[in-house]
Amino acid sequence: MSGSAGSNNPAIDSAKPLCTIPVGFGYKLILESRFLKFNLLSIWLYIFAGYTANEWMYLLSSAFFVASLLGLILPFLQLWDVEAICSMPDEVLVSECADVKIALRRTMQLGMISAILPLQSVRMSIQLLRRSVSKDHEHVVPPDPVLIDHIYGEFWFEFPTHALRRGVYYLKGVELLSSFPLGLAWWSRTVSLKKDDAEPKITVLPLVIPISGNFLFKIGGVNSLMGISSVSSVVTTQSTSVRGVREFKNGDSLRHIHWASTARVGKLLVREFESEVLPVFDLFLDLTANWRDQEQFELAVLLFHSLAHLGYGMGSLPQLTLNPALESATVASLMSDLPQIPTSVGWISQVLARVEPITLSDLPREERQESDLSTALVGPAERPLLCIQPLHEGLIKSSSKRGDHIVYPIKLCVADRASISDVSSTSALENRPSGSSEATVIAVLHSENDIEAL
Amino acid sequence: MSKKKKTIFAPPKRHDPPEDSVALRVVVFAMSVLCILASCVLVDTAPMVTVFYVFLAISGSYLSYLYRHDNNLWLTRFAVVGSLVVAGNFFFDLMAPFRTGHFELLAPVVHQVAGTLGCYSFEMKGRYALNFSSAIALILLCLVADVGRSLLLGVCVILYVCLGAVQLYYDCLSRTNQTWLTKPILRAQTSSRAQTLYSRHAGGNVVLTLFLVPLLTGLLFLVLPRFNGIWDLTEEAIRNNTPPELNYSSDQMRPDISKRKPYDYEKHRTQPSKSEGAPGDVNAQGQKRVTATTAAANPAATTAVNASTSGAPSASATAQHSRSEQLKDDSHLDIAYHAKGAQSSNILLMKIVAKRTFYVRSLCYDYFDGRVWSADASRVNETKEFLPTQGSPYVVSQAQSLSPLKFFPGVDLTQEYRIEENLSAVLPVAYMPQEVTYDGEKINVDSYGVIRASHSLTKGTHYKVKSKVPVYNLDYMRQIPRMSAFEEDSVRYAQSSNLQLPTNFSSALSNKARTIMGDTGNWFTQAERLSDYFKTHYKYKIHDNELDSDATDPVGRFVFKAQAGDCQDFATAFTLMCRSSGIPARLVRGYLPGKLNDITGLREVRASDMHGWSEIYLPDYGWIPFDSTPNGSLPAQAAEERYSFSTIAKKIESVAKGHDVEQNQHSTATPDQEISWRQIMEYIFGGGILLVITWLLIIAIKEMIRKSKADANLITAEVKLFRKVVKDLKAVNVIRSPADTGDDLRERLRATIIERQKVGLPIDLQLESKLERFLEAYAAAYFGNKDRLEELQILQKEISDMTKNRRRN
Repeated sequence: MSGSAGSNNPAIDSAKPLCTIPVGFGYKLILESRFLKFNLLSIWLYIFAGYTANEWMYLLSSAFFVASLLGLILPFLQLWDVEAICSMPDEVLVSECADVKIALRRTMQLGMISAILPLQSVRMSIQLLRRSVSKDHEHVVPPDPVLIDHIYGEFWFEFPTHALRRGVYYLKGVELLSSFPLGLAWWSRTVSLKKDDAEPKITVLPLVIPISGNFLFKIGGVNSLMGISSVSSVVTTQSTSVRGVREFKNGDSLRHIHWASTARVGKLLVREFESEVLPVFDLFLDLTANWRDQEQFELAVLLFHSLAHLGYGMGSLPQLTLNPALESATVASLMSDLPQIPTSVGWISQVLARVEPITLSDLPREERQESDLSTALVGPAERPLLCIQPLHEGLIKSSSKRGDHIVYPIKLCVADRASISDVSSTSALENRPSGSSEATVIAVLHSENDIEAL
Repeated sequence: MSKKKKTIFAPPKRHDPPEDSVALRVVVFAMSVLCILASCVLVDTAPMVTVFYVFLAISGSYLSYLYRHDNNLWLTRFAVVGSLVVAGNFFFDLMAPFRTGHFELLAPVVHQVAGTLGCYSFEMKGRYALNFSSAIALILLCLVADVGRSLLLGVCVILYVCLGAVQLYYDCLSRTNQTWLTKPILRAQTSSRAQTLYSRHAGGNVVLTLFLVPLLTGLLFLVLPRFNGIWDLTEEAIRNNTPPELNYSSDQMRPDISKRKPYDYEKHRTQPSKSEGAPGDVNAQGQKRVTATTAAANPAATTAVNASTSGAPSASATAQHSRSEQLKDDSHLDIAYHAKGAQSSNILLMKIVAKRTFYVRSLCYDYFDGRVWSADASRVNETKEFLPTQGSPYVVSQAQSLSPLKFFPGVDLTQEYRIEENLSAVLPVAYMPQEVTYDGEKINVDSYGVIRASHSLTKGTHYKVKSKVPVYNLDYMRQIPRMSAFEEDSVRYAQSSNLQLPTNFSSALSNKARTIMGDTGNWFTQAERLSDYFKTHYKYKIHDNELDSDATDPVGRFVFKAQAGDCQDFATAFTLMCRSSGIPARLVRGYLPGKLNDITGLREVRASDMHGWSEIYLPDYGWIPFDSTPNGSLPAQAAEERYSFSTIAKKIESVAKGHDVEQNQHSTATPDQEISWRQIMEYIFGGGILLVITWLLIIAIKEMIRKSKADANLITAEVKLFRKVVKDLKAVNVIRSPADTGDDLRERLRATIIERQKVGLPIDLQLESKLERFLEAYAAAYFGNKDRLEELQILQKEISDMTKNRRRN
C-alpha cells in the first residue's frame, strides 16, 4: 500500500524549504514551514489545554510535540545507520556514461532502534564533481535523485551518470535525503566514499578519431633517424602508396619514372609516393590561446589526441608540449593527480584529459610575465611541430540535434620551433595567433568529421 | 481559451498536485468522520444533521479521489450546495434563542465547522488539501474541548493521534516522491549483481515505528506539567493590574503592632437578644430543627423544607429518608449531630459540567450558640429578588453580597448543574456567582450570597451559573501589609456579627488560637497559620455515633481532647478561633468538588461530598475561604484531577481491589456499590493491556526457548566452525542467505572474487579453494565423519586469516 503513495505521479511539488541548517559530519537539517507550524500548533494546544483545563487537549498537545520530536529524530537515526561503498570505472571516454554502483548497508549500530526503525523512503543522489582550473571543483549537474523503497541489510544500486565530458570527476559522496516516517523534517547526509583517504575518481579521456594521414606530406620529414632519440621503432621503408606524379628532379630514381605519363606530357614525370619521409612530428598545445568557446578547445584536444595516436601508430610518439609548461603552477594544479606512468601515449591521454583552456585572469602574475618554452620545446629542429590556432570567425552549421549553431574552427599548422619558444605566454595571448607568421597551415577543421578526413 | 474555475474554499495558494495515495485518503477520511461524529455527539445535534455531515464526508472523499486529476466545476457546485445547507443550519441554530430562550453559540459553530469539513471533502484532491482537512478535524476536536471531558473525547483524541501518525507516514511517502523535484522521481536501479541478501531482522518495522507516536504521547501526557492554575493567575493578573497595596493606609496610620492591645473577644460573646431567635433549642433527635424565626425570615427556605418533608419520594428506607431530610434542611447546622447515612452515602446529588475544580457553596452561617450554627434571621431576610426575563440570565452580581470587591481576584467560570436528587431551594454554585440561567419563576439572593430558588430543587433540575472564582496568589496575599489598629477596629465593627462567640467559648481556646496565629502578619497569614496547624496536627475522622454523647462543648472536646473530627468540627474550631483573634469569620456549607467521571466527563457530586469550611473577611478582597481539614485545599485552588503515573497506578489498584481507592475523606468504600461503566471500561482497558503484555512476553519467551533449544541440540562443533567461516566471509562481502547451500556459498564467493578483481579490490585468490575444501570436510563431518574435525579447524583458521588480512588491507 505504501508503494502506491504518489507513485508515478506526474505532478511535482517544487516548494522551497524554509531553512537548511548544516550540522556537520556531512549532515544537514532541512526544515519546511510545516515543521514550524507543527511546533506552533503544539504550543498553542498546550496553552489551549491550560485554558480549557481539558486533559484531552493536553494529550493532543503531547501528540503534536512527540510527532515533532520523532519527526526530527527518526530520519537522522535512519541515515546514521547507513554506510556506503562504491564501485565505478577509473576511465571512460568522452560522451560515455559512467556506471557508478553504490552499495548501501545498514550498520545496525543502534541496536534495538535499528531493529525497529526501517530504512525506507530515502532519496539518493551522487555528488560528482568535475575539477576545473578556475575553481578547485566544478559542480556537475548531478544525476536526478532516485528513490529507495527499502533497504534490508545491503543493497547495490546502479547509478548511471549523464554523458560525461572530458575531465577528471571526483565522487565526493552519496547524498541521502530522508524525512521518514513522519515527513516533518528532512535530514540530508553526504556519505563519504573515500578509499585510502582518496576520493574515487573517473578520468574521462578524449576520443581518438582515426586519421587517414593525407596531410603528412605537408609537414616534411627527416631523412635520417639520427638525433631522434625518442624513436624506438622506426619505419624505414617508403610508402608504397602512390599519390600522383611530379616532374623529375635530380636524384630521383629512374625506376620511379612514370613512362605512360611522360609519353603523354612530353617531359619526365616520376611517381610521387604517399610519404616519402618519416612521419615524425611533435605537438604543441597553447592553452592560453584565445579559445572562443569550450567546443573549439575540445576539438583541438580531440585532434591532438588523435594525432598522438597516429604518431604512435606510425612508430614515432609525438612529444606533447603545453603552454604554459607542465611545470608551471597553473598547469601543475591541473595535473596534480596525473598517474605516475612513463611517457607514452597513455600518458598523453591522461594529460589531454586534464587540460583546460586558461585565460589571462587564471594565470598568476609571474606566469603571465615569463614563460620559458625554450626548454619545453627542446628537440631536433627538423622535427615538425604541429600546433593549433583557434579561428575567430564563426560558421553557422546545422545539425539535427542542435539546429543552427555557430562553430568556431581551428587551424592545424606546422609552426617554427624557434619562433614559438621566443614568444612568451603573454605575447602569445596578445599577439594571436602565436607564431602565425611562421606557421604553415595544414588544414582548417570544423568538426570531428574534418579530423577523420584530414 | 481556458476559463479559470473557482473553488468555494480558499485552498492553499501553492501548487497542490493531485494525490494518488488511496491509503492517505482513507486515513484522512477516517479522521474527518471520527471528528464529525465525536463533535456531533458531544454537542447536542440532531441525528439527521449528523448523518448529513457524514454523508458529505463520504461522498466528497470518494468523488474527489475519482476526479482528482480533473478540474471539475460540478464538484465545486456540489460543495457549494452543501455549504449553503450547512450555512442554513448555522443560522437556524443561531435563531434558537428566540425559540428556547437560551443563547448557545458553541453548537452552531461546531455544526458549521463539521459541515465545512464535510463539504471540504469535495476539494480534497491534493496532499495539501488532505492535510488541511485533518487540520479542520483538529479544530472540531478543540471546539468541543469545553464541553467534552468524557472518555468519549479521550478515545477520539487517541484515535485521532493514531490516525494522525498513519497519515503523516503516508504523507511522508508522498512527499518523498514529490517535494523539491521538478520531474517525477524514479526508483533506484538495483544492480544485477546486487547482494540482495538480508537478514529478516534488518528491515525494521513501520508499524512499531509509528506506534512510537501514541506510546510516547501517552508517556509525555502523564508527565506533562499542567498549568491550568497559572493560566488563571495570569488571567487574573491581566485583569486586575492595580497594585493592591495602594488600598491600604500609609505607615503613619499604622501603629507599632507590638504595642497593640490583644483583641478582646469577650465583648462579642453571645448576647441574650441574639440567641433568642437562634435555633438553640435543638431537640435530641436532631432531625427537624427549623425555628419559627428562621421560617418567618426565610419563606423560601420554609417552603423548601416543607416541600421536602411532605414530598420526599424515597420513603422506602429510613436511612434514605433521613438522608433526604438532611439534604433539604438548610436552616442550621448542628455540629453534634453527624448524619452518618449522608456521610457514607454514595447517593448522587448533582452532576456538574465545568472546566475547573471548585468547592460548591450553598449555605452560610454566622451565628453559633455552642452547638448549632445558624444564620442571622434579619440578614437572611435581606434578600434581593430577581425576576426572569426572556432569554436573559439572572444577573445576581447586582446583589450587594455577590458584587466583587475591588481586589477580588476572580476568573470567569461557567458551570452547568444537573440535579440528580431532591434538594432544598438553595442553588449550589461556585462562589462568587455572577449570572444564573435558571428556568424558575424567580430567585432570591440574601446577604450571605446564598441563592435560593422559588421551589426546592427536584431531580432533573438544570441550571447554568457563571461565577467569578477566586484565584489567590498566596505569596502575594501573605505579603499584604497589616491594617492599622484603627482600620482593624473599623472592620470589626462593621463585621461584628461575624465575630460572635458562644457563651461556652473558653479562654483556653482563645489562648491556643493566639499562640498558633501569632501577632505578626496580616489576617490572611494568621488564618493560614491556624489552618496549617489543623491540617498538620489534627486528623480527619468520621464520628462513630450519629449524635455526640457529650454535646456541651463540642469545640473544646475537638481541640483539646479528640484532636480528630469531621469537617464540621474543623470548620467550627477554625471559625471560632479566628473570631477570638478578632478576624471576622463565618462557616460555609456546601460540597467538595466531587469526582470527575472519566466516561461522561461530568463532575459527580455525591452525598458523601457534603462539606463545611470557613471564610474569613479581608477588606477589599471579601470573604476568603479556608478549608482547614487535612486534605482541604482552600484558599488555594482545588487541585485539578489529572492523568499521571500515580493516578493510573491508583486506577489499576482500584480495578484490582474492586473498589475505588481514591475515595476522598468523606467517602467510604461501599463494596456493594453497583458496577459503573467506568469500572467496566477500566476492566476492559486493564485487561487489554494485560493481554498485550502477556502476548509479548509469550513471544519473547518462545523465541528464547527456541534459540536455547537450537543452541543445545543442533549446534555441534562443526556447525560452530561453519558459522565462524560464514561470519569471516562477511568481511569480504560474501553474505550467506538462510537458504543457501554450500555450493551457493561457493558461487557467491566466486562472483565476489571476480567482482573485486574487476574493481581492483584486494582479495585472496586461495580463498575459494580453501572454502571448497572446508565445505567438503564440513559435509563429511556433519554426516558423522568426526575424524575430519581437526581438518575443519585448520581450514577455518586459514580462511579466517585470509579474510582478516583482507580486513587489514
